[in-house]
Amino acid sequence: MYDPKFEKAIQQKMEELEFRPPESVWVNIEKSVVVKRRRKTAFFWRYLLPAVLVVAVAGVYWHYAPVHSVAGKAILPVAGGSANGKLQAGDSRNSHPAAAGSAESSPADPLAAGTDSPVGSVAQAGHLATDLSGISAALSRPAARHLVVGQKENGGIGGAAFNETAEESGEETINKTADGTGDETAVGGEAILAGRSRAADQKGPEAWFFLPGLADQRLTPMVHASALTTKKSNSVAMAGGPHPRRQWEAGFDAGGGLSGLNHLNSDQAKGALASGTSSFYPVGNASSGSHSISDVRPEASFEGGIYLQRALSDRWIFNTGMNLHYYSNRITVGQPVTAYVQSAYSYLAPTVLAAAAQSMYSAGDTRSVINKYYFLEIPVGLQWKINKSHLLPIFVEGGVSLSRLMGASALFYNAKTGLYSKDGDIVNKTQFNVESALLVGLPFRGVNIQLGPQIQYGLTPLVNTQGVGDQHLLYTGIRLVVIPGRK
Amino acid sequence: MDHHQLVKDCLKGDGVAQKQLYEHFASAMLGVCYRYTKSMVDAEDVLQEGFIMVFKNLHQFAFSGELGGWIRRIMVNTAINYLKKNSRYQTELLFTDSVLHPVSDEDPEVSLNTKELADLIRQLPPGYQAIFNLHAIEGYSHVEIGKILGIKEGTSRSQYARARSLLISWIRKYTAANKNESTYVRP
Repeated sequence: MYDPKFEKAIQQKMEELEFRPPESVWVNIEKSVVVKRRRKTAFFWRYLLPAVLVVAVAGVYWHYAPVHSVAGKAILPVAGGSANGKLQAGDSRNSHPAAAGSAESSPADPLAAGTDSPVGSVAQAGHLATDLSGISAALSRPAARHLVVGQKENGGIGGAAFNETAEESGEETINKTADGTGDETAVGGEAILAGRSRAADQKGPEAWFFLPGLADQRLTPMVHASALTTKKSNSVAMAGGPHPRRQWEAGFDAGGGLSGLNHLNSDQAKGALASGTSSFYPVGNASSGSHSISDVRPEASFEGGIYLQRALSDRWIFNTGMNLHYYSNRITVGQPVTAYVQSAYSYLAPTVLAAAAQSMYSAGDTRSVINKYYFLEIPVGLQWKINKSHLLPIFVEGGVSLSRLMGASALFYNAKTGLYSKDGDIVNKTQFNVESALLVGLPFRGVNIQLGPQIQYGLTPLVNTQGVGDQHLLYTGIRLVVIPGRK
Repeated sequence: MDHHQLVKDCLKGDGVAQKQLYEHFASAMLGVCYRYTKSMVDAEDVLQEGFIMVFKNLHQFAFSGELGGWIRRIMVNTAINYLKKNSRYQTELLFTDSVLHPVSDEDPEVSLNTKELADLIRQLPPGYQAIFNLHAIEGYSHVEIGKILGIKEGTSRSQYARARSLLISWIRKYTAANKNESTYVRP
């Protein structure tokens, strides 16, 4: 049996064996690790985006679905029985010619008071949910404004907002409740009114009506029957009532335009390079002679995401959401740098570090590169409705947003080295932005659309430029908000 | 340095901690890689691959053990895989079952310095070199070496005995040459 003294001696000596690895080894390791991080980010996005979409769709569905479950029974849309889709509510003896004419021409008018039609009594408040099934038979314009009857304890509380709406619109309001029957008549194009019938005076649950079309005007569409009055147009006036409960509305937000970035000041950059804080200088060509380190031009930018809003009052609307925002800009850079020398070191024995692995470029105007940034934004804003128009309401919006850089393919200027490189460590990944927009409301078949110009400015500097001027992201574009109407 | 904290920071994706961990172990690990390869460039390649493996598998590190030992095992495995993959080493890594060669009882005094000794080990044929490194320096048993290299335990023993004898003879020659104040010539 041999005594392993030899092995022990070898082991001891080999424990002391050390060599200093070159810098390039770490550069390559770091690159591999960073690539893995990027893959993780891509993996994250692969699941986040579908998740956001699922949540958005579920949110929209959840938000609008309760309409069907008022009083636990199917609520059916109601429209007039006449061929032109007008719903005649109440007594056909009303004085409005259009309504009267319609009632006369339609003997089976479901809501025509005084008739013996089985549907004539559908407005009896005590049997609303049941009786309204008959009303559905009278539907003639499914795409038109629908009238749905519910019960107070289940429905939202409509109120003063309707009255205000009618008044603001400046349209004539015709009260038809004075005849004591409580009957009301819809007049004009597609207006719809169902009022308190004679039977509504009976004991039982009170009748509430849902007018989805009014949701487009950000008004709670549940209207108490007794408070309804008619008017010529499709607006509904209400004499009074409790304050409306305003609801969240969900939709989608998209936009496109241009994004820009400030120029970096070349004089400051030269100062920074000359100062003691800088450690390196470029071996390649020098920076351009202009006042900026390189040319920066705006490029395409677009955003998209989910949008939530809630009316705070008739004029003020709060909104928030979540967007994925893509920014880009075009910069010019100089020649690729293959090596650079640490300026503090001796020229006799310079330390040359491999820079090619990091795709470094000197400042200059030799080639152009498009920098791309992907941010996840959470905006919070307030809209103010400038005018009183329901057809073309105009909103001014102001807000802030918090965004997080999810990915970037960009060259950043490092004032210490005087080079452009893909060094993500010098980027401020969390950004705080302010934004403003002027939006025009375009109600379209029950879908609330807002369209208009938007401007956004990043208050947080994008890059830690070490004293060569701050770079802030600026975005200008057209914004589109789509809020689907209630079913 | 608190290695466990360093590992936790690395796992959080802290780039500074990753660089710190690398700088702390890189020199010693390059020494390990150097012993298994024939050139410094190859050693650096192994070091690079090894550290990528380290960062990739850092979540598997059991905090009960020594971080240095864990990284060293990864480096050794990476080096062996590198030898297996690299065509320059493949042919000489072919192990043939040979007659059992008894291990010499000789235990010569090792008066060479670390670098000289390492260079002599690197002069061994790759198969011998790997087995000698694994058994004499890393402390693997021949059964373990057999599993690592895919050879029989007896083959590992035999190859080790030959490597040991060869190295001892070279050390003697080298020492004698140095005593005669002559320049060492490659064995």
